[in-house]
Amino acid sequence: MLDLLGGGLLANLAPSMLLLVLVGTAAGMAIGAMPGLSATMGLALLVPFTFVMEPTQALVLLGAFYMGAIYGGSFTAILVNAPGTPSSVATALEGYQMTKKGKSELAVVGATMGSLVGGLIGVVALVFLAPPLAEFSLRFGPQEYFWIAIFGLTIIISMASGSLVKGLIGGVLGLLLATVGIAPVGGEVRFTFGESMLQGGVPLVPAMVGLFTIPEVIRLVARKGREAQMISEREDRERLWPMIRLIFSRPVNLVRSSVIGTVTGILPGAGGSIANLVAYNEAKRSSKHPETYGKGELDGVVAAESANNATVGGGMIPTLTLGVPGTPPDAIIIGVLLLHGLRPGAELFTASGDLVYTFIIALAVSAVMMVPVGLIGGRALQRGVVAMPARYLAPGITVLTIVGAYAVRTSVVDVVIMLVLGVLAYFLSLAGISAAPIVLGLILGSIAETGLVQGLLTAQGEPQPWLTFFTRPLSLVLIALTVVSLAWPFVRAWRERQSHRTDTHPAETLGKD
Amino acid sequence: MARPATLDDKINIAAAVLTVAVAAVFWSQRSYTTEYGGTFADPVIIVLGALGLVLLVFGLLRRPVGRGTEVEEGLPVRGLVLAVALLTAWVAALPYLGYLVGGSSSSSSWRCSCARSGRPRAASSSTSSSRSSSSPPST
Repeated sequence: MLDLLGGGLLANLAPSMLLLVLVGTAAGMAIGAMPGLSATMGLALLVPFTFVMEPTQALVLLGAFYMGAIYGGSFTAILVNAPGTPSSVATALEGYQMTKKGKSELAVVGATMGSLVGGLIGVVALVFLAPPLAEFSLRFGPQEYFWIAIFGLTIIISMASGSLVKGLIGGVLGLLLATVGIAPVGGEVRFTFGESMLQGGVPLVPAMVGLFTIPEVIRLVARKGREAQMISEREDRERLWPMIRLIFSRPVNLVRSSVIGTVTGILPGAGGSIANLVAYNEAKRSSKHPETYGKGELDGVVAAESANNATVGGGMIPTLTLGVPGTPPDAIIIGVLLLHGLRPGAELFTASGDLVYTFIIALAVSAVMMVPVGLIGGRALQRGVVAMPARYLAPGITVLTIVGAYAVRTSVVDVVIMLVLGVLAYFLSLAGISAAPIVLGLILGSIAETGLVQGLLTAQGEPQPWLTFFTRPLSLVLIALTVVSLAWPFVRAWRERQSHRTDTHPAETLGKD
Repeated sequence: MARPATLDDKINIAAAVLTVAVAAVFWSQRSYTTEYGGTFADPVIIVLGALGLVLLVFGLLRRPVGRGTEVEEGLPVRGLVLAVALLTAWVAALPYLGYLVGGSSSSSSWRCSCARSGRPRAASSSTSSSRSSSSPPST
């Protein structure tokens, strides 16, 4: 294997290959930064261009593009609260708050470094742990996917900083929106209110763009520009090296989030959209100062971006070893492999080892390439947005959101859905119901429903089919994680009350002892 | 004795009524044709309705349940109507004017609406100078 790795490294050091990785990474970043243009869509658009390429070059270009696109989503999430891809939802939660506080440059650098570490750890897992991890992922059945979605929903407790009831209402509203349209299992058409345009359901990207971005735009116009700052005019200018040092001074967060991203990426169908939220939640839960989350916490940005870029390498594990796509873009990679006569599986690593390892090393090179490209391009974009007057920024963002919503299915209906949800989100925010739990519910709703119904269907031979959700070993582990996640904020609050009581009455406590 | 209802309490009651209404509307739309059509959707509707009722009870008991972002600053009703109208007009014009013409004309209207309607006030803090420099001229 080391020979093949060395060969892959040498192949990637060729100038033509480096140029290909650079072009792929930069193009992916540009596409990922556009709200509505996801990594999956960009890869699909790129496939025809790879027909004329050698299989190795085609895969290297697609891999670099994929890595860049996942990272590029962080730019608009940080700068204008418009996540470019669903993988950047958690990035927007903290990154945009940092922008409001004049720390957007630090957020961009944090996203870059997080993406670098996440991308590299995902690739390391792909190189050394691919076969056992791929086998492990096959043990996940519908019941486990249902519990993964429920575990993901516990993040609402972290997000609902103001009120748990209102956070839950937002999350359940998102789940309800996810049930609109054709059911994921059975194909039943539900809750369309007689409108055929709703049969396709509430599309995730337009909904996400509308829920996050439109309320900010409304706020800006309603409060006439500068009174409603979208971004701080007084940007904190710091030198690059101290910022990088600050980010790497918290290695546990970087590594933990990258591992979460890798593991989530391995699970077929989960991907970066879940990984970034789970990593964000874990970062907040293990933080010594969780109260700073939601107000512009660098660790939140780093956690989300490490996790979503780690899903690239993680997702490739079942893709290359089993032919099961770990994430949606991986399905396109499988298509390209098949197109070139390469069948995913264990023999791919032996029969076409040079190609596979060149591709894997190209993912790592792309992760490294993101740093100079991101620090130059991303910071230039950040400075441009910060310098732009509000009267140009608001219509500019609106154009971006409208094009983004339209681009997904080239449908004006999606633009209307985006607008309606955006206006609704503004009014809900007046009542203290934020957009983040709604988006979370929308993302996890279909995964939970598919897991629940498929689980019941596969267990129809059992006397009590629903009991299978509580008897499988992996389900029990996930239930335990869910219970811990639910209980943790309350335990933490109780411990803080206890320590506060001890601090305020030390004499009494000593006296009792 | 209960304290007088604040704006927060009224907003909570309104949000609760809206939540229960949404749950009721979705419940009325149930017409499943397969065995598992409502397996997931029905519990979700019930939970949403129940949460709405909990919020309603909190609102009626005037218990604090978090608060919105704009309440403390006062709601800019005129600006809000203008913003929603501008966005709606932009989206409604898309099928007729297209993205280029529709986008250009809507952007221009938008920039005008973002402009100040009065002269900038005298600088009272260090931020005032930077604000006026980046703001459009008074109209």
